Amino acid sequence: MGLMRIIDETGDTVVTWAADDPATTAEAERIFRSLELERRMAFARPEGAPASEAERIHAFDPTAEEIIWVRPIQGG
Amino acid sequence: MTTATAPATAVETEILPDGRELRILADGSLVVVGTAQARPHPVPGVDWIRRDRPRPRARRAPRPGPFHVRAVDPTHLARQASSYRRRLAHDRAKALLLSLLDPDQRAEYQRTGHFWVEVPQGRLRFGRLYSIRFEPRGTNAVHLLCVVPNGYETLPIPDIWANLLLAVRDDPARFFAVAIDRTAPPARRTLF
Repeated sequence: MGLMRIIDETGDTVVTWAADDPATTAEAERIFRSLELERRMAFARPEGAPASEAERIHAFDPTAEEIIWVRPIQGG
Repeated sequence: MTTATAPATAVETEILPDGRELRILADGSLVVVGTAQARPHPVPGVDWIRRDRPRPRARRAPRPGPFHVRAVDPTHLARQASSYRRRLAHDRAKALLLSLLDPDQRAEYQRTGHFWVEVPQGRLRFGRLYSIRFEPRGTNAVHLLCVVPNGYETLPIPDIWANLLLAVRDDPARFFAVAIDRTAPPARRTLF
């Protein structure tokens, strides 16, 4: 089962999908695309792995264990 | 020592409304004797100011029993709920950040509230918002940088560090391109 964490004011919102379930995979992919359009950045990592093992991805990977969505950065 | 002279005999005595006596002496002088009463006795022909209705007496509020239910201010409940949600969000964000840190960073963050990140340009210390300490490689210089995620005001603080950690690991050049160097004069506030 894959897991997407979208950081937000609640800490993060979790979206899960099962690679063998087309419905949940399609919904996760739809969310992935909408977040890409918002210029957010997705990082895939083995579940619970440190940031050094996280990899930037630009397309939905249904085999990913965990995808973390963060926001673009700016000067303060 | 004082000497009192015996009063002359009164030729006429009149009871005053306040209970004292008015005495008219033989030589025509007037003397009032006695003690005025707080509540003078009734005198025919004199109307006294009286309270017809008894003044309502203040009553002590009944003491609450052991199972007394207090009225609770609804705004207080809303504030408590909001505080609870913020604490939950902070805990979730902190758990995510800790999972992204390596063991040394994790131990340092839990001990001091900040952690160091090595990048090709030098090293960064995350932990104080708007004041990210940057020590360029091969120099003794120290810069204080301000970099934040878009819409960071709504994010719990640990989420901000998780966001910046992933962003700087992915593209350090981009991180320094947007960074505002707070230690530089206003005209030269970008680093690279």
